[in-house]
Amino acid sequence: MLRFLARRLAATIPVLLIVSLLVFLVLRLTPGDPAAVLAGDQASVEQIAQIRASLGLDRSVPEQFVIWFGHLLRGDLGQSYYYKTDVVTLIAQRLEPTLSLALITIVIAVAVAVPMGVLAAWRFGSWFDRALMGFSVLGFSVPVFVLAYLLIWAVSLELGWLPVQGYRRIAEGFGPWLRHLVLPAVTLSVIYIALIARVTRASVLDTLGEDYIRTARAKGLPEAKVLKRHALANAAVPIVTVIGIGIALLIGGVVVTESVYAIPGLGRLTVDAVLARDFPTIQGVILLFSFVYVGINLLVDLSYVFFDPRIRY
Amino acid sequence: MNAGAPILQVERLTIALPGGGDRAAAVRDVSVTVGRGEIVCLVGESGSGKSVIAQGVMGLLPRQLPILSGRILLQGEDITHAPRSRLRELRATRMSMIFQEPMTALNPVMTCGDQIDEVLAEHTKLAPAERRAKVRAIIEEVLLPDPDRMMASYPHQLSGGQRQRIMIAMALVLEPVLLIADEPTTALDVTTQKQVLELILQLQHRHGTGVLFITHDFGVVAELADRVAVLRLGDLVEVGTKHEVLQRPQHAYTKMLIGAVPTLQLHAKPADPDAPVVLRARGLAKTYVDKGWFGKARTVYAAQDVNFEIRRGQTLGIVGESGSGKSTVARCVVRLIDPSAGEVRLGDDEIARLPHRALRPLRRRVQIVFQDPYRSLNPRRTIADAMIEGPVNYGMRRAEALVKARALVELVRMDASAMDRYPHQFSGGQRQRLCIARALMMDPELLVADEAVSALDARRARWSSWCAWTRARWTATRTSSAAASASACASRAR
Amino acid sequence: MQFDNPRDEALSVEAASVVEQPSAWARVRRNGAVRAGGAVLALLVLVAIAAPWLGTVDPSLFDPASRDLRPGMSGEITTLDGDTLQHVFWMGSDSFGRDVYSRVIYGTRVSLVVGLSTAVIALAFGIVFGLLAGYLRWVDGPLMRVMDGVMSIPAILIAIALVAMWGGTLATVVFAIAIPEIPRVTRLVRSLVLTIREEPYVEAAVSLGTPTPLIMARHILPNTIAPLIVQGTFICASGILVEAIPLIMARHILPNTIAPLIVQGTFICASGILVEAILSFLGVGLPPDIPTWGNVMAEGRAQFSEYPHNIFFPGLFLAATVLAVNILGDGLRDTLDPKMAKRG
Repeated sequence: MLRFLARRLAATIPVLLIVSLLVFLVLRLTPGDPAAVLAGDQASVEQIAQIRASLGLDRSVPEQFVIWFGHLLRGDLGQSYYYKTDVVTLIAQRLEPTLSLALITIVIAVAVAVPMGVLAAWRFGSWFDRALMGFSVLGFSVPVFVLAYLLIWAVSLELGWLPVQGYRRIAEGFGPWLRHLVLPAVTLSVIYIALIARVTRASVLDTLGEDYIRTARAKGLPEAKVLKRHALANAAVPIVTVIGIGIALLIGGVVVTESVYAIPGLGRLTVDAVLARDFPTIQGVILLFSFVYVGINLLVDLSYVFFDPRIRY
Repeated sequence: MNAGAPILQVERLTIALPGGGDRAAAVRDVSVTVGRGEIVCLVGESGSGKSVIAQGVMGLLPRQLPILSGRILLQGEDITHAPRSRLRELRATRMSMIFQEPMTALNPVMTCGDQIDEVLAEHTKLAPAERRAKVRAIIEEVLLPDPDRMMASYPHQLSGGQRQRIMIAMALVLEPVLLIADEPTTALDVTTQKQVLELILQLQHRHGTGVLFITHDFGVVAELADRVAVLRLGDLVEVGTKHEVLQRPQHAYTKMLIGAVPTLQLHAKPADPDAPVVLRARGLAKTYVDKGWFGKARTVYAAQDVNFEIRRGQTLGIVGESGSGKSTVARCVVRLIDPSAGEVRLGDDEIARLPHRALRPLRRRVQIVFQDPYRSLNPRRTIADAMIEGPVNYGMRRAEALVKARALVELVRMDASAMDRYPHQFSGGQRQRLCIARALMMDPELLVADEAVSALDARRARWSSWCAWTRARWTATRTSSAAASASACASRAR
Repeated sequence: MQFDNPRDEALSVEAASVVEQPSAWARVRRNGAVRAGGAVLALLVLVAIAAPWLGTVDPSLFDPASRDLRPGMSGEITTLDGDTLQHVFWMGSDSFGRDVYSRVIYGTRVSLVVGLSTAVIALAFGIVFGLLAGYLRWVDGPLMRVMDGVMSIPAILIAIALVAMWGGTLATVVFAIAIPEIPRVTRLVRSLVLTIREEPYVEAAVSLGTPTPLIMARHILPNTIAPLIVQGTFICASGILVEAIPLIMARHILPNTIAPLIVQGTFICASGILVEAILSFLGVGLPPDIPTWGNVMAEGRAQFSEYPHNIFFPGLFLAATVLAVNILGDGLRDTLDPKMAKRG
């Protein structure tokens, strides 16, 4: 069991390496002088030269990578040219809002999507099933920010139930924190729900066609038990998988949602950094998001062991 | 035997079949009874509707197969249109069912013990400790060793035979009066089959359970049945005691089914000892070397020094347990894999070492039918396309090929309308028949059947009718793990 | 073949009239989702092409006097020659005084072009990579690691970063959006290649003596659908592989992969349209003077509470387009795979 763990961990290392390499290369792929790009439009020749030296751009590219990676391993993501602070500090400041948003979104999404998917599969072909599939396509198609504006207009502007924008830290009170996060979380969860519900439905549908469901019914078990202990339990692996994969969608959505709702999180930071061409920050944020994504999917992989006893080592 | 009122009475049951099938009703006007402690065998080929009846009794029919008319009485209670809650109460307590595929019939993510326990938890008010004791007891009764380990293990850790015993345990733990067994031994290999059948007999005797045993195998009928009912395409054609049906069958269909049972005696058609040799294998060998990542090579001797020959008009059975190399030999002969050593002569031509380019003319002389009917037909092509692919490759005109295809489809006793349908619309047994027909389209000199008939019904009939059809006598090699289906001569492959 | 008896002859006549299954193309045409999605898409294409004649003005024209007009109001607009015309602003005007309606209509062009190009590029690269990875063991390992790496970075981030690096032109935006989609296509093609190799019906075809090009032809038929454009991409890819062994598999597998790839392509198109809009909305996509739906919405952000029309009209078009493409994709998927069709 421990061997399995170790092996899976080991398998992620090459991926993380490649991600780092890709992130590193992106900057080097810019046409023109990276130092000039980094320095910005207003920089003087001396500043550019300074940057070039500090980045070690006079060395060969592989050497540069090693240096950069070394910094990375020590937790040093460089300095933001725009904000004039360490990238790590920047990220730490913006972590709470994004984390809060993400967590609430995930909770809402799973709590809503899985039961709906199971129901749709169970009542395959019914109006509920078709409605869910329709909703799912809609959820994929309406862009996050359009939906956001729709909700803002309807709920905040017209009805005035919830605040339009902004974020309140937990420290300032649980109520305000939640109130400011409801609309963004609901907006963000829509696409996630669409995805999870679809996969749940498909997976449970597959499972319901299996022989052991027939056996379970032949034992005289009530449908609820059949659906829970026999169907859903066996359908779990693809569902959990898609929850992991959907995090990528979530991250993308976070960037947009924070932008619309003016939440000072990592998503906003990314956009601001891109607009300011602040490459260290861009690199730092992309690295963070990617590592988190890989990490979550690793957890998902490991969780399979609990869901399917056939997957041991 | 028949003390008191019958346990199960099926009266004039008609169940509809959804559109697109080959007939309007899955079963029509069928009546069967099972008495207390009686074993009634329901016999028929695949697609005859026997499973539908079983599911109907248990109330497990899908919506697309409604009961049109007739009644089902369980211990006198009319359950034909009983509410679902009542059916649920009856299942496992009064009537139980075991199914054909033990490999997939158990929930993979629950322990065996839990799955049996579930039955008790649902239908009784016993405390957990008492339930545990009962589970233990029934596991011992189905002759599984080490009950505690069995209870804690998952289905994938058990063999097919063991899983089937768990199924039987689940079915009988509450001592129902009726057990419905839907071909429970068909998917098991010979030795296990016998064991499971004996177990069922034992348990049935001990608990006085009435059994409705569904099968296509008259061998099983001979062993188990008290009474027999024969089903053909949804109609009940004959019913009676075992002796009556087996010794004095009335209906032509019954006679044909019984005649189709291969026995261990030599088949009536004598082999001509001087007929020319169609295939000869000498020193055939196939070795697999698996070079591991770190240089440790594993060598697998799939086949070693295999020698045999087949003459025209003969059928050679290659028998062995699973893993003995039969499929490897079969594939070597057809050159789907290349032998590592040895010689294979087809007629006068040495084919073991032919380069791939030169294999084309060989192909039409040797044909193979595979074991897995579900993946031997391209799901995206109609049966007609699949059938004519071979001959058209070698120049036959499409129209002619279609005619021949039709004839062969009918030869394997399927309706010609099958040509326009897709593989997924047929059952496994029907698909296998179509594969055999496809192989015959090429008029091969040699037909290799790789466990192709292990799940089939009425096997013999097919062989003899083919022989009648092709004017030239041809030969067949069959690999099989059922000793009874090898005929003229049998040689052992390692 | 001579017929020995009248029965066989009669059969041959019958055989000639054996009813053939409707071809896959016919099935596709009949599917409701395909029709609905396809119809909307066709309409949008028409709109895009006919943009100049639909009562629009040059989308870059503006007039400070006509700023922030509500939908339906009329106002002035200054043409490039300096003349002023009266113009009804069906969808209102933005804060520069530009006609939102014109910008939305012209924006259709951009979105459709971006969507289509993204799909084509992602498919083309994905197919090549996937086929290579599926056949050449030595390519498979490293290539798939790189693909895993790319897939580990959320797509929007890659797109944003690339556009930030390369600047915002149509070409760079298209590539930036297409690149994150390539790994999925690669995986799909690769897995199909690996699977179909092993199927018994391929073995059966081999043992039936079907020559290599014919094996491909037999299995192209059920899976090939009209779009020759898509075919053309495959022809390019297969040209590279003519030298590869086993030929049977190369020719045989491509056709079986066409259907899933068409479906995949449709979804990539939808995704492309969406991502482009997001990029533009965030200000990191195409330059603001090019009329894209995202740009129009970006421009109208600040005054959303007062003037929601800047957001809602383009948003509506965007949602409708992506919806249509997604529905089309769903319909294609249901019809091109006979077994999937049963489940919908």
